[in-house]
Amino acid sequence: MTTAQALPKRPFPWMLLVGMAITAAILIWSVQGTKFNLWVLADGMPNVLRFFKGMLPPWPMDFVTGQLIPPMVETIRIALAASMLGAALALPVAFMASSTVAPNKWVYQVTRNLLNLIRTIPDLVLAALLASAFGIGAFPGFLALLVFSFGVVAKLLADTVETIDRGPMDAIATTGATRILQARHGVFPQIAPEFIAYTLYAFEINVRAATVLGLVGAGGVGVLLKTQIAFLNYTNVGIITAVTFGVVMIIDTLSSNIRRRLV
Amino acid sequence: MTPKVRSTLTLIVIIPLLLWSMAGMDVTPSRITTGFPKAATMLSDMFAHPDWEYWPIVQQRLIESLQIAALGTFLAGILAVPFGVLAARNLVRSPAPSGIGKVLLNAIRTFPEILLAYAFIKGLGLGAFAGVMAVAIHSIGMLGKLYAERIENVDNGAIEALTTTGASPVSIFRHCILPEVLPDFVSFVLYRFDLNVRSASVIGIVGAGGIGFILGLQYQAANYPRLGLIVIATILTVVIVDTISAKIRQRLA
Repeated sequence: MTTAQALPKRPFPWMLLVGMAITAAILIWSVQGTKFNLWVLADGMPNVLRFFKGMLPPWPMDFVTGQLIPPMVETIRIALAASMLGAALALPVAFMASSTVAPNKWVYQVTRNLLNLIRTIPDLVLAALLASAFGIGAFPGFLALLVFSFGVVAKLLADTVETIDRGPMDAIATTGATRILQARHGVFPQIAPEFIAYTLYAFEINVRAATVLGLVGAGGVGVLLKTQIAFLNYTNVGIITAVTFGVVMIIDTLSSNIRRRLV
Repeated sequence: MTPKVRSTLTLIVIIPLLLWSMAGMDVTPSRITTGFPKAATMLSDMFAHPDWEYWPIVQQRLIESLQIAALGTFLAGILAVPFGVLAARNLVRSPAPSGIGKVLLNAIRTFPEILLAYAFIKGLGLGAFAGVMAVAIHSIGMLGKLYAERIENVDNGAIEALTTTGASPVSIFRHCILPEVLPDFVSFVLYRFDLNVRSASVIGIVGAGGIGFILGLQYQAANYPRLGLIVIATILTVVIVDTISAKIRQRLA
């Protein structure tokens, strides 16, 4: 304790203490509310592990070739179409949502808030609602991810547009060109690499999301996943998970390679 | 390559890709003409007349979602520490543990949370407890990765100095690393809490408790005034939690 006295006195960490007390209170409240119990967990663990053990190989390959490939391709198609069209729709909106290009601050505020709102809607919920409006299948899944990609790309791109060099845009403005022309020739060339990069990023997230959308009837490999879970066929659940993992990894690697070269 | 050639080439790639991806969609005109009016009716049922009498149940389930997210995130925040230490290159000297740790964390992160929820429902029954476990295990993946990256940014000089004195990795972590990284770890955990509030409101759809549970229920019953209330309440909760958590994280940084 003698060394401690030599150190400069620190103020008593009230904030830390209060933070810890609040955290402890929240945790006790949560343990009670969720009926968290380590004995029950220990009791149930064998059944949880049985689920995972059931997923392990050997995997019948005829399931992959016969049943898995078509919905997997559908998943990729949904993700691809949604990210491309979502990004295309996001481009003009991103200009409106950035203070540098937006015609006035009302347009800027409204689009910003709208984009923030869109990103809070859970994609699974959106897909479920769209599936009941448009009927089950790939189309509602595509629409849900279209909204999601639009939100992500527009937000990221708007942030990028705010950091651009205004020079080219102002130069074009002096010729009397319209705002659309200014954005097209003065801004777009500066953000084109980022635009493609964000689209690819949205595509990566979409592939992951598209694999679970089927759980609410929105097409793709999730439909198959749901039926295999319902049939308690954990081996097939394992195959689906593994193949999905492989596809996601390949797409992530390809996409992040392209992105690194662009930006 | 001139810009003109480049953009032409881009179009040659993009248009067929788009056509291919749209081809299997089965978008018929009738599907669109009946779909949009139906969606409009649904939206007006949901948001013009939300069923306020259903609020007590919504509130109870929202609280359950927050509890699932809080406890799940806390458990993950602690369980992720050994993974983060293992995966950090600068703490455990040989490269093998770091590699194994990173692969392990990647596998956890990619394993669908919904499947974890199903697995824990098998073992623990329907309800919030299964949700807590699914959220906790899934979050280890991202938190462990963030922890490891943060530990790798700690000044190596201090670590090496302690290593030469023969200090064990545990005591190096305790005295040299933890004090420096702790504020950032707390910040990561808070960020993960934001994400977990979202997932805790969705995993209930498969039976793992929280607001998602009644969301699934009312969806199957096609009770749109109730669904509207659930969706509004969920979105508001997510926005409020995001705002508070961002404020706290700003002060930590």
